[in-house]
Amino acid sequence: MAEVQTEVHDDIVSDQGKWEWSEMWKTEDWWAIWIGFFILIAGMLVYFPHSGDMKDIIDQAQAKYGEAAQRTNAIKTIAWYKLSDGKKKAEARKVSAGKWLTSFTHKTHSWSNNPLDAFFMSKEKAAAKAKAAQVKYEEKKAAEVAAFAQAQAAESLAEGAGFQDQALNAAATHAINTWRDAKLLAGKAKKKAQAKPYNQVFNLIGLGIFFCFLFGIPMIFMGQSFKKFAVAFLFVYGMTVLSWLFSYQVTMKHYGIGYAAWAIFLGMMVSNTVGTPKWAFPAIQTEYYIKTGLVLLGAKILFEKIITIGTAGIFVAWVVTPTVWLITYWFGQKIIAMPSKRLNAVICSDMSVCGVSAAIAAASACRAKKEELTLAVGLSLVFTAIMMIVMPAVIKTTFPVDKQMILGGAWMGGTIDASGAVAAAGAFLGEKALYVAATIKMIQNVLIGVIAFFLALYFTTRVEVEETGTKVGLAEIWFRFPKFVIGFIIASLVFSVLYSGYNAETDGLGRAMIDKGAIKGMSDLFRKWFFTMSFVSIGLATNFRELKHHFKGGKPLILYVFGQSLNLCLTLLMAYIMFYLVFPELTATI
Amino acid sequence: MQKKNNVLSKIQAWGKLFTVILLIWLFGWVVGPYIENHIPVYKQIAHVVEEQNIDSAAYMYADDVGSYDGEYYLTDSFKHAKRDDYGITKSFFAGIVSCFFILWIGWRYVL
Repeated sequence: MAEVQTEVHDDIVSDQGKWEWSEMWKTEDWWAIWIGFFILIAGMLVYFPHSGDMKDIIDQAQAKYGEAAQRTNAIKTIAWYKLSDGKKKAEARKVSAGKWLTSFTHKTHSWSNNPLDAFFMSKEKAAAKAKAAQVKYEEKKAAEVAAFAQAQAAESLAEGAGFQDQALNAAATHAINTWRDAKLLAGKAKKKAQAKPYNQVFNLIGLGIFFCFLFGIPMIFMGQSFKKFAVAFLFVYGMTVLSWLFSYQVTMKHYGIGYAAWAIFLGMMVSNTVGTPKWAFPAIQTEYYIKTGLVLLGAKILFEKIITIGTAGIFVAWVVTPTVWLITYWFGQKIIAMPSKRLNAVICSDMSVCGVSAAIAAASACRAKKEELTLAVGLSLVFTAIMMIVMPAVIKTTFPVDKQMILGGAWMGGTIDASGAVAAAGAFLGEKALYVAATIKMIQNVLIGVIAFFLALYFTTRVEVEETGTKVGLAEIWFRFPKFVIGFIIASLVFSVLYSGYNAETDGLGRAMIDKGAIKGMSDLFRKWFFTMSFVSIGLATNFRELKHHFKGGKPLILYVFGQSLNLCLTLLMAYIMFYLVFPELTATI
Repeated sequence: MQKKNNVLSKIQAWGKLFTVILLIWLFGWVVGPYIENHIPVYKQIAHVVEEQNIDSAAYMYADDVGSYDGEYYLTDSFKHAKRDDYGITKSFFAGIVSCFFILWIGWRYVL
């Protein structure tokens, strides 16, 4: 293990560390990297041999609709959409191993009144559910068929005029959009009409055993008892499953009260009432789970994605966000004098970047306390639930109709913290608003890596130096630097290169192999479990009194409200300027 | 006496726990649905969430399918329009550089 010498000079305590190679198998920072890499490499081994099959699916769609899709770029024709749909069918995770992994790592299912529905559904019940959904599906399907006929007729008229008549083009676009909306709803209804029986109990048990070994074996190298960890892990894993159970209850789902909120809440409920059992402490390993999840998160921070939204979007997502972060941090330090720089940084990150996931990354990068992360996440969840309802209502009532979709979508994507709430609020306005909002949020997500690295560097070289009162050299910076950030960045770089490489080979292959393969079919399946386990651990180790101490004077709330207000103003202004004044033609193509 | 106090505090702790469970039940099955049915915007959002099967509690873009669909739609739309101002243009690059420039300003003068 790294040698740490503590020296005391005139009441200033300073830690001076010395790097040792054994750190690489004796510290949780490095084990987080190894476990994360193990899962990512397994994902590559499972999916990458299927790149040929995915390429074939894309090529077939291209051969079938490519020419027809290219006959005009004045409007998006039916063939253009069919080409897009055909390409989307290429998903590496749909291979048999992928289907098995998805089923094995599945969380609990949605339920409304009977919690057993979350774990088990009989053949009879599934058949009854499918039958009930079938009627709705048939209605939606009929609507889709009718809308498709109208779209075809409108497109023929526009084509008859050589796609030169603006009015006919607009009518065709409208009819095609109506068909797309109807198709989307029919597709969702179809899935419900295909309800199948399930029994998640054995998979959940198997998954628990797998996680116990995955995290337990490294505990031996870190000098802990595997047996004690395994017994304690039962408790943490049980609480994790319970968190998923609550988050999939239908009312909770509507309110966007997700797994993080439930995990922290249930953990705190136990620790602050009957108390966390002492035997459970060996598995309450917040940092260990969180860092492993963060290394997996790195794999989905793909740099090519930032091109997606175009130039207008990059200014909304990548210029407003750091500006808001810095001004809010300055406000927190200079105006309201936040006592903790770490809490200030974590709140700034979750409010300006992307909520819970940014808070986790920031808290780990600056070594914030558990209570500080809990507080920041709590603030983010409350404001997300409010903004998810208020923002679409404001946009619908105050924005000009022609600007609701893109300006409204960009505004929500840049300001609402959580991706799911962004999607729900966007979908309320319409499909296009959903797409713009979700994509802006996605590009903001990419900033997590930049912000985490920036924070790790800032706290290592500035804040910790101020706290200890000693200047640090490069070796000391390396010693103190949170190593999982390196794993996060390596994962991001490797997967960005692979993603771009596949796309260079065939357009859309990156999505099929990386997005819908190694990420969606492997790292994502595990990441959410790890984050939930870490949140359960946070809750189990959090004391209400400690939390109250951090909330003293309501400063965190003032900071969040100030930052979010600034974010709302700057994002709206920047979105309007970029989408409608600087790049109006590019916006018109969306 | 000490033993009696311990028993009493244990009963209190379990009582608190059951009260919280009762409150969760009240929210999930009584208050929550009531609010949902009486605030029109909320009702519509809940309907959209159910109809389109959106994971409204997702924290990352990849947790929600809408993000992928949105990304594909936008990328294909821009490519289809064959515009020169899409892709890694000077303006796009300026956006990226601005981000790092702002962070540098912050590092130098704000933090």
